[in-house]
Order: sequence, then C-alpha cells, then structure tokens
Amino acid sequence: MREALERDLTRITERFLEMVSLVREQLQLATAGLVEQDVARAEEVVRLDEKVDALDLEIENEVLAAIARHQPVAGDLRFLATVLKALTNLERAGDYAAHVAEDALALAGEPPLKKYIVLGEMAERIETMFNLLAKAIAERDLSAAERVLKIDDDVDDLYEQIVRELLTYMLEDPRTLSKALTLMRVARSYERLGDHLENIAERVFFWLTGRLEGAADAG
Amino acid sequence: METLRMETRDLTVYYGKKAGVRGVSLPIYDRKITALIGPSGCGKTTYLRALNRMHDLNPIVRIEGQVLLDGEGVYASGMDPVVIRRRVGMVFQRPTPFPTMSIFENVVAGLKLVGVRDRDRLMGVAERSLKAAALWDEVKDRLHEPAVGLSGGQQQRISIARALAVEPEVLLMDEPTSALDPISTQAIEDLLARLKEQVTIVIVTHNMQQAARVSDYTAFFLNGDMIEFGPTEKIFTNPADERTEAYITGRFG
Repeated sequence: MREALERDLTRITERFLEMVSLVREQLQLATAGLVEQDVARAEEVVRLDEKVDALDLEIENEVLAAIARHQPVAGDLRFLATVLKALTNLERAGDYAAHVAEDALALAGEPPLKKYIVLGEMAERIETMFNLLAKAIAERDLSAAERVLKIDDDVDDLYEQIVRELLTYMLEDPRTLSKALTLMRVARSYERLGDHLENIAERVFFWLTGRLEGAADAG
Repeated sequence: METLRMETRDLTVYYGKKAGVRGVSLPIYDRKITALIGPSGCGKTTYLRALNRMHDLNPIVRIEGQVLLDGEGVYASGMDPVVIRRRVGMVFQRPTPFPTMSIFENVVAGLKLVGVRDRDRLMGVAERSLKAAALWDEVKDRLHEPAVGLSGGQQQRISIARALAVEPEVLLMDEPTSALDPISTQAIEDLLARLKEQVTIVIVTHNMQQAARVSDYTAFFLNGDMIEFGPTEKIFTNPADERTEAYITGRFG
C-alpha cells in the first residue's frame, strides 16, 4: 500500500513541478514581451495559460483521488493539502503573468517611457523565487522555502520604489500618464505574482514543519 | 478542560523477566475515547489488560508502577479485582456470547453474578443496555432466543450491552471490530461516539483509520514503549516523533 501511495505522491510532485516551470516560463515570456517589445512572446503567454489551467484541474483530480484511495495522514496529508492550496496560488500567479503580457501588448509599438530597469529586477527576483520553490518542493528543502519568503520582501520594496518613480514621471509630464498607469499596473501584477509564490512557500513550510506560524518570521 | 478518569504512572508489565510494557505514563480522560495503536507485539493489549487487572490470573505476569482509577490505586491492597472489573469493563476482539444463554440472559449475566435476582430490574437493565448498545430494536422481539443465532456484528453489540449492564465507568475494547464486516464496524463506531457521553473508552485497534475516526486521544506504542500521546488530530496531522509518522504513514508495521 505504501508503494502505491509513494507512486501517486511522486507523480503529483512531478506534475506540480511541471506546472511551476510552466508558470515560470509565462513570467519569462511576459517580461521579454514587455522589455524587448516582443509581441510573439507576449502572445505565447496567453496560449500557455490554457495549459496551466488544464494542469491545475488534472493535478487537483489526482490529489483528490490519492486522498480517497490512501487516506493519507501526517506528512503525506500535509503534502497533499499543500499542493491543493498551492495549485490555486500558482494558477493565479499564471494569471498575473498573463496580465503583464496583455499590458506588454498594449505598450508594444510605442516608444517606451523609460528603460524598464526596476521592473526587470522585479522579474528577475520572481524568477529566483520560482527556482527556489521548485527546489524546496523537489528536495524538501526548508531553507529554500525560507529564502522565497525573504526575496518576496525585496520584490515588495522594488514595487514601492517603482511606484514612487512612476509618480514622479506623471507629476513632471502629464502626457506620460497613460503609459505610467499601465506600467504601474504591470508592477502591481509582478508584486501580486510574488505574493502568490510567497503563499506557496508558506504552505511548503507548513508541509515540511507542520507549523503554520513561524513561516512569517522567516520572511 | 479534561478531567482524568484513569491514569497510569510509570507502568511496567513483566512477562517473566521480559517487560511487555515499559514505564508507561498516560492520562485517560473522562468520557473521551483514547485509542492505543502500534504494530503487533508493541504492548498495547498488554497495557489495556493491566488497566482492569486482567493479568491477575496469569502467574508469570508482574506489574510495577501505578494504575489509578479516580485517583485510587487499582493494584492497591484491599482493592477487589471483581469490583475493579465491574467499574472497568472489557469487550474483546471476538464476540463472546455465552452459547447456552438467551440474548436476555447474556446481557444480564454480570448482574446475576453479583446476586441481582429481581426480574423487573433485570429486564429494565437489559432494555437500557441493549438500547445503549444500539441493538434493542433488532432484538426486542426475541430476547429469549439464543444469542448465538445473531450475526457477528449483533453478537459484538451483545458483548458491549453485557459490559454496559453493570454500569462501568470505563470500557476497555480490544480490537472490537477486527472480526466484523464494514457495515457492522460502522455500527460499532457510531455506537462508540454515543457511548462516550456516559462512559470513558480505551480502544486498541489495528485499524489506523478507525483510531483517526473515533478517538479523541491517541497513544502510539512501539516495542513496549509508549512513544507518543496526544490529541488524535495532532497525531494524525502532525506527529512529533518520526517513529509515529513512519508507522501511521505505513512505512513499517
């Protein structure tokens, strides 16, 4: 019986990591679409979103089947609960990547307001969060999950920074309003995306330690 | 706030020179269900039987430490084992109807043993006990037929009714459903949830899901040691000891 459960858990882990890597790809494509004004890559994000949504449902069904078949307890149960919660967060993270891509499409074809340095930095940090999350889940690495929480603080700081910066643009030259507001929304999407990854990291912390509190302290 | 009904302090049970249970300290809370789990030979049944002096008849068994019932030593001198067993009843793995007796006689056997002869009183007790054991409706029209004619699940509820007839404070159950089909098992589990309003229950079970379903507290035994005790929810979602985790997730045992 243990072997059958182990097989199901391994498969669910693999599929979930597959979904993590798909959403990370969405982020990369959306960022390239924005920074390099690459329409094709921005459009690809929307196509990937369908794949992510389908995977979300498939994994949820597999988790429910595993619970029904094996009545898991303790660490096994916490893992499956973690995946269920994380699925929703990951799916939402994908939606935010799609929002970035949509805004990138709206901004493409016009000269950029400025070089997207801080936004690029946000995207870079979030990509690191994806990589650490995958490592935390694949290797049950608690310290990797804790680092995700720390990096999200950086993402929040960068968000504050970019909001101030864009406000300055808008105050100095009202003609920048439209573009600046779109960019503000982009920054907000990145920030929300980071929050969803933070939520997943907190669930991984719970899975690995059995504690819900304490994850916040690590961040 | 939980109230103690029973308690063991540093309880060790020797079979000859070998300890079957070593230094177990455990609270047994009033009107709660405490489940004892662990692999075969871990000492859980040995522990259970020590709670109402079932080992007394076995000359090679020696008990050290304390078993307290309402704060009094169960093994204290002057304590009558018959009285203890009346206050702390036992239901075994296999149904144990007395084969020559009717359903009615089976249920009141314990009372007759202590000298109750009044027919009306016996009938009142039989009805109350059978109702408490969720069996009354099924047998009320054939109380004087042999108990062995009943199904396994009904026979087990007869055993429970018999144990309840003497109004015990604590009911010890040694794998009470392991010989039953799923439907009868379900009936007994439903019954346990109702019984705990009146009686404190300690149940040994090999079925971990059963422990998770029915009990309020769980104690995990391994090789004669009590490894971990806690609220059932905690044990099954977040056990503190990795041996507990390994056992309940099926990594051994």
